[in-house]
Amino acid sequence: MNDDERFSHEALSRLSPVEPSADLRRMVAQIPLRHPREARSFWPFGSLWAPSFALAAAALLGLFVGSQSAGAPTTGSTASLSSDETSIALDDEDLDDLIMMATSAHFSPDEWDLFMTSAHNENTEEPY
Amino acid sequence: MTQNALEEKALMERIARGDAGAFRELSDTHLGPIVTFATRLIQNQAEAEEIAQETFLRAWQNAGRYESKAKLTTWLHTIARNVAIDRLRKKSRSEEAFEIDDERDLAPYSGRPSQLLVQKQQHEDVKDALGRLPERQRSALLLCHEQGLSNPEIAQVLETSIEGAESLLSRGRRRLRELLTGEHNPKEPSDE
Repeated sequence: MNDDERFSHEALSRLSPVEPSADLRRMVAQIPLRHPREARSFWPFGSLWAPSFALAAAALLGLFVGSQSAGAPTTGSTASLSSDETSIALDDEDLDDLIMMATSAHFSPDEWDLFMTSAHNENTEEPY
Repeated sequence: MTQNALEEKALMERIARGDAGAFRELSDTHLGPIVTFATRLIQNQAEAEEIAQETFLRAWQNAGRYESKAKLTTWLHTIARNVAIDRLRKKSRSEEAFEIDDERDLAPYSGRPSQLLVQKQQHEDVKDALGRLPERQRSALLLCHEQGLSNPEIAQVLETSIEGAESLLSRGRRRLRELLTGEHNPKEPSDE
């Protein structure tokens, strides 16, 4: 500890601490009463606006895509993906788009037919 | 993490959940030091009490943001100093207004510091001399010698590097001694 440090320490440590007034103590003690915590909401993710907006945007996108699909022509060569309850007609462009979306690759219709045929054969093989 | 840090973190978590008892515990421990620090900083106890009240209000409202990286006392002193600086700025009194006014006179004393403290109404002289230091030097000295913070903690409160805090302390100590003993070093820069 050098001279300046010793001097400052001696000078400042001799200052008597300032006692908070009774008024201040009372005001500080009342802070939790005057500023109560907001009740916790059932929603844990803050504002409801962001998720509401996201849901509305998704619904609008669904309506738009649905309306476009409903009005789209189904001429030309088509493939049919069917399940027990639904049947969706897809033309070549739709198939290309789907394949590109799923595999990031582009298949010609011939390559697609080959792929579908091999997939069908695999599915019809007898299990071991 | 030390036991003390864990306890402080737990205390602040309770406060963040709205536990008034925990807040009472916080204020019982830290209100005095914060009022003392603010009083020395702005040289006015009435204003210092308003600053202390605002400090604890902010602590109550922001308890959830407390990170145990900083000691609780460091966190509270940082808030208190920021509140004090905000107030001073609102009053259009920049930190330069607290630079040393060389026109003011403190009678020099040539003798040992302990004799000085006895003979010169020590408290008033020291407070007067403190008031003549630039705000950052004054804060550094108060945080170190009165509040007992370490140099890294002082650096956190003053938002500077550890070397910066050490420099502020060094210049503040030298200047304080000059003011109280009448020695004068004309090469001394005003602040940082």
